[in-house]
Amino acid sequence: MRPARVQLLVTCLVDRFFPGTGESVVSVLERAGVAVTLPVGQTCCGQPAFNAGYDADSRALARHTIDVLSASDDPIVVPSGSCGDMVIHQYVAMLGDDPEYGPKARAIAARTYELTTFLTRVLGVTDVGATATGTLSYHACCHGLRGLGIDSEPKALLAGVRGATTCPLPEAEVCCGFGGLFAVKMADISGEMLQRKLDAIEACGADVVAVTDVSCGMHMAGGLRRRGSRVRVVHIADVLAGAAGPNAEPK
Amino acid sequence: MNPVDVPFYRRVEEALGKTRMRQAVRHTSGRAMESRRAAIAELDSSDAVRDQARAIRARTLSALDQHLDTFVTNVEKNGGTVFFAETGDDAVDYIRTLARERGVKTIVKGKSMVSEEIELNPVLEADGMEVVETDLGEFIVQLDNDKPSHIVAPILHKTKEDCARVFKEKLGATDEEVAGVPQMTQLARRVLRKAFLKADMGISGVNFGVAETGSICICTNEGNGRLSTSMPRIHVAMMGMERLVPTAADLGVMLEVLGRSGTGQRLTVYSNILSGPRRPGEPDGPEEFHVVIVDNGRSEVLAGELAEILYCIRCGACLYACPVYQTIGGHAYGSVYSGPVGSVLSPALAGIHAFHELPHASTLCGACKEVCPVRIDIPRMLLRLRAKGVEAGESPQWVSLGIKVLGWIGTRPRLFGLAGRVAARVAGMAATDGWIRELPAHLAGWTATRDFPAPAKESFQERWAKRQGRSSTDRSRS
Amino acid sequence: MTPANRARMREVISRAVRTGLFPGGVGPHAAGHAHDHDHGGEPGHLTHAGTNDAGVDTLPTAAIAGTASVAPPTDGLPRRERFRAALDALAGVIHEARSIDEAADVVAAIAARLDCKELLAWSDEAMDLPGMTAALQARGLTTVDAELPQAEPARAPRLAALAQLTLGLTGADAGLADTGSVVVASGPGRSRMASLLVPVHIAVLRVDRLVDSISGLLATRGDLVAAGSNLVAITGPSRTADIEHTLSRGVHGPGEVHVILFDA
Repeated sequence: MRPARVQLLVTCLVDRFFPGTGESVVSVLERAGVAVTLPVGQTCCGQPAFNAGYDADSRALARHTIDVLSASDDPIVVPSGSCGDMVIHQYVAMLGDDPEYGPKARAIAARTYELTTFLTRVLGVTDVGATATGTLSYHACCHGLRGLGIDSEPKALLAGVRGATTCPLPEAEVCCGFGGLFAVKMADISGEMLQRKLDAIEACGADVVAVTDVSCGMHMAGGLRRRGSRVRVVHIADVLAGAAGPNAEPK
Repeated sequence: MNPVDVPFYRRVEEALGKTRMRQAVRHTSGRAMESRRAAIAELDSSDAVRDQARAIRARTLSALDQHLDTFVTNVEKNGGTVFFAETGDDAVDYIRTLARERGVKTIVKGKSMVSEEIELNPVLEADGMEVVETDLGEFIVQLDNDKPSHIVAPILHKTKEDCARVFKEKLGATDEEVAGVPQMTQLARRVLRKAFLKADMGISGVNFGVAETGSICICTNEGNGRLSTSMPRIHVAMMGMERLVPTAADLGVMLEVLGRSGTGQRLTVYSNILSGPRRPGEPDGPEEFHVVIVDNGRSEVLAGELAEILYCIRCGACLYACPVYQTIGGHAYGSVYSGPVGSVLSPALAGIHAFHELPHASTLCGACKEVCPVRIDIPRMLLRLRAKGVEAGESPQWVSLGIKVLGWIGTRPRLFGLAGRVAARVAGMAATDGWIRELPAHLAGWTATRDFPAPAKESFQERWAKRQGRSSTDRSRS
Repeated sequence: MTPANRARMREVISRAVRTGLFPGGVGPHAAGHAHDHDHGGEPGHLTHAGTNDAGVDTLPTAAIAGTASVAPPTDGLPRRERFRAALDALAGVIHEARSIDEAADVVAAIAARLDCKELLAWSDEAMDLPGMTAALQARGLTTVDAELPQAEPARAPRLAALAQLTLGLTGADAGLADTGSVVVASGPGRSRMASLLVPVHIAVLRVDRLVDSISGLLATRGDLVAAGSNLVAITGPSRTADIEHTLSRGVHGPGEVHVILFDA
């Protein structure tokens, strides 16, 4: 069951803030022998509205995204644990009882995969021809870890990067403090949680810490920049595409 | 149940400023999580056991009326008395009337979250009774006029130096008597023993009621739970109405997870099952045994989509696991019930307006759900409460506006793209090397501790479309 | 309970459970999502088996209610050895005796170390140790009458006197191998104080009363719960970790716990 072609749900943050990461995703998938299409009209999966408690708005965004993804039957790959969790679990939770969108949501959920899950579990590959120098580590973004059970997959892919060594990140499973709007509404608490995470990152001995989500990633990267740190937090697609060796820019 | 008077954000600010308290909370949470992990791992197939524990709670609550009725019948058969207190005031009135009628002068108390929820102590003290908290942590809290900060470890926020100070100031203890933890423990033992022996009434909480036997089970480590329910003539047990299991066998399952999850022990030192007052022929035990079943808003919760929070067995694991709790400590929540469980339970019992910030004091990381011995889906309920908050008008205007805009442009891809390009243009003016050092207005909190990335001049979809030679919102397949 | 109070309780709660959402009712790994229930008007919307959060169906057959094991792996050792190891880890002290005389010797040795001549003990019948009181008397130890008067003015002085005693002696209705616990039920001749008020508690546990765990015990010995007003599983000396999570023993309950494994 090796699909020849997938649809990319690029996610609003990658689309607008980190388009280079989107290009890395395409590059990695193509290298793995899968063609990538981009369904037209993507905007936002609706998670910010959902997390803020705006059910009507999040349902509207969910329906829109479902429509966009339903134009094709191809499997869907999403380079984000949190958007992945949204599409795979929360769309069904929100719209499950809807006579029109319930079945569509379930159909979409059944063929949506977060990127690292797609590579390791669907394609069965851990070596995507990636090379890097220096030491890599991994922070487990919470929605991916606990919502989708993602942990061994990114680690396996990082272990497959030729030329680089890996090291563990202490407290890798402790939340970085991003939490979406939480980062702004509860900025004091978020900032403190961030310091704890950055202390661990700077002490772990890695040059680059890979993540599955640019949302958490930009919070940590922004903090490291503020500290003037040498260590960088980079989306795993960029690591695998060779777009972010220790000396490359984060975007 | 009322929130503490100080507003939430001020409490958080205070908490973040207390470095020693935060170190104490972090340090102890870490140790607790370690010992907890080892203990849970011992359970042969711990996932299945947690499912079983969850199933017991679900079964009990979905037929709570029947099980409570059975419980009442059996407590009375054992010679006990039961009172259903619909409100906290009803419970307080029952107990103070009983105490007055029996000429009670001294009361010893074991740990009871419910008694703190209904604010029992001040009323009894105002009636002229001496009320002595006997759980060591609660005793220190009482001496210091403080409030507990964790449902299982009440003085998680205090260092041993803090405790020594309290004993010296309030008990006149000497330096030798507070030299170390063993010395302070012995001092507390000496002082509290006098109270146990002279008390007329003992008030306890209930870990689990058992319907089929008319019993209550109290789990403690210190022995105060046994002494305060065995020595005084009258024992009053305060039981949240949801703290029930149908059979003794069910109790056995719950006991296997409670200690392991809460304190990293296979069992607490005393798993104490009490089935009524002293029986004919028994040499000791209380003459009277009362169970006060407390509703105080629980039946409202039971009736809705948040009923799952009532599965909670008060093990405290979610508090230890929560990175927000570890950062701000228990007092910042402003409620008897803090941490993840408290962030659901407090607004559920007291109404969304009283505690509307609490459901937002979370990144929804899911660590709480991961450790919960009965697998309560706290993140689901936090989201439900956030939605309730929006409906109740508790969401700030700027958030409402932002979400409305997102909802509008998010369903109109051309506008979405346009808005993105405009934002990129505007932000580009404030950015250096692609990052912004200062965001305006409500977003300024971000840039207090982090840089913010500037949006790219060209989005991924725009680049892709250009490559394909067509507009990015063209509705044909790319 | 007054009839009105009981009726009110029934009314309030039965109304509530009709509309409540109770996920995880039956079956393993039931998802907690709000949509996962049947709106069909049955009381107490129990949800049924589903998949875990990784979207993977992981239904272990052992998760059927009543059959899941809650005990830690037995590591092959007999109950007696596991009991010893568990209690030892909690700083409890284990002795062995094969006769009443041997048991009395153990008690006398402990009493001598504590320099006490009196103890608060269960009756011989309650401990199922015929002749124990006489054997202790022969070794210079008197057992004190544990009966606590119900009313003043006799109660307070009697309690004060009992509170001076250092040593308590009880039997045990069961022992739990997984945790090193002794289980004692109250009843005629079985004072609570003998294992509670004294700083040093000795429990004589017949080895054939050892079971694996508290869940095993409560599933099979409901009669013990009903036997008296109080059943307590005592797992080692009393302790607290309230101050900085630092362990301290001997708080309010006995700080020293001895178990005599009785094999006669």
